[in-house]
Amino acid sequence: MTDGRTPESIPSHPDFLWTSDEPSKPVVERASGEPLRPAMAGVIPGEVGLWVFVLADMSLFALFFLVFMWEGREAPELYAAGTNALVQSLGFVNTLILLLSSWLVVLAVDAHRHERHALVVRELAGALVCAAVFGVVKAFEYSHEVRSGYGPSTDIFFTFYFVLTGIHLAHVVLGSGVLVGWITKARARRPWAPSRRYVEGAAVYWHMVDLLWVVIFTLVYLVHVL
Amino acid sequence: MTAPVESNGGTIPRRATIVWLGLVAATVVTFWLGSRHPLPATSIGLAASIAIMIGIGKAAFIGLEFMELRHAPPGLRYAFLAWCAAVGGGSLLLYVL
Repeated sequence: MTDGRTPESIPSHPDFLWTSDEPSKPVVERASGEPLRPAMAGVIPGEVGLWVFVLADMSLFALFFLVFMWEGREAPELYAAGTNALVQSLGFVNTLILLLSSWLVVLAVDAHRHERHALVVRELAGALVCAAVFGVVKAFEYSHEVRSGYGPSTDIFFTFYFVLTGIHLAHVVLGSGVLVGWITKARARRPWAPSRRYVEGAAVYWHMVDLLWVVIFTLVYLVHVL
Repeated sequence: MTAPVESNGGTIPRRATIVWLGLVAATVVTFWLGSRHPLPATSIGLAASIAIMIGIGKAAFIGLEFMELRHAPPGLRYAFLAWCAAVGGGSLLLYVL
């Protein structure tokens, strides 16, 4: 070997693949002393106002979910027929796509905390590609359903299906816009401290979009199958 | 090139990656549970109930791990978990009863 490495500098196991999650490990801090990781501080991710909005939005969806399940008790055959008319594999693929995008967003927050702006841009570009694919799959699904004769006014199941997934899709579009704003900050090489609230807020919103879809997929695509 | 040993943001957060892979696995399991394979009627009810529980479990993990609520003030974390309990428990009750 001609690179001059001594045996002691080579890791004994491939932990170069992983960052350390242990809070005791030293973490880069800003000059102000503000920690990059909120792990030990009990700090609200983003800011309070964000969570008022996020919890309110989630509560609205919770209401939709529970009324959807309630209506299913009144018309179980209708719900079974509706679920069976959906293309479950497309819902499954879309769930995996959003989970991937959420993972990339987690990586992007971590990268931004360490001022790795080029990495942030790449990871967010990946998340946006996921969002675009989600939209394409959803458009294909909608056109398939419409061509098969199902629309929002077909019956109560399909009213819920189109309204729930439609409002969710609007959230995906809005979340994508927020991610684009984040990319702009990363390309401008904005340091962490002034970016924290926006970046964490954008991430929280995107994870909310992901978890709402997880619930939609479970309740609308899977539960009432027969 | 010497591999970096300490965290420098250029590597992959381990815990989040493990959680993500677990979420993917849970999605595969719930998809299998909810897919249209022939089951006797009683098993379908059980499969759907398990799918609801796994589904809300996935949502809880997304909130606790990805949204970093694990490290947030307890009030916020409990508000989120209360949402999960309401949606998951409510859905389960409405489906089963």
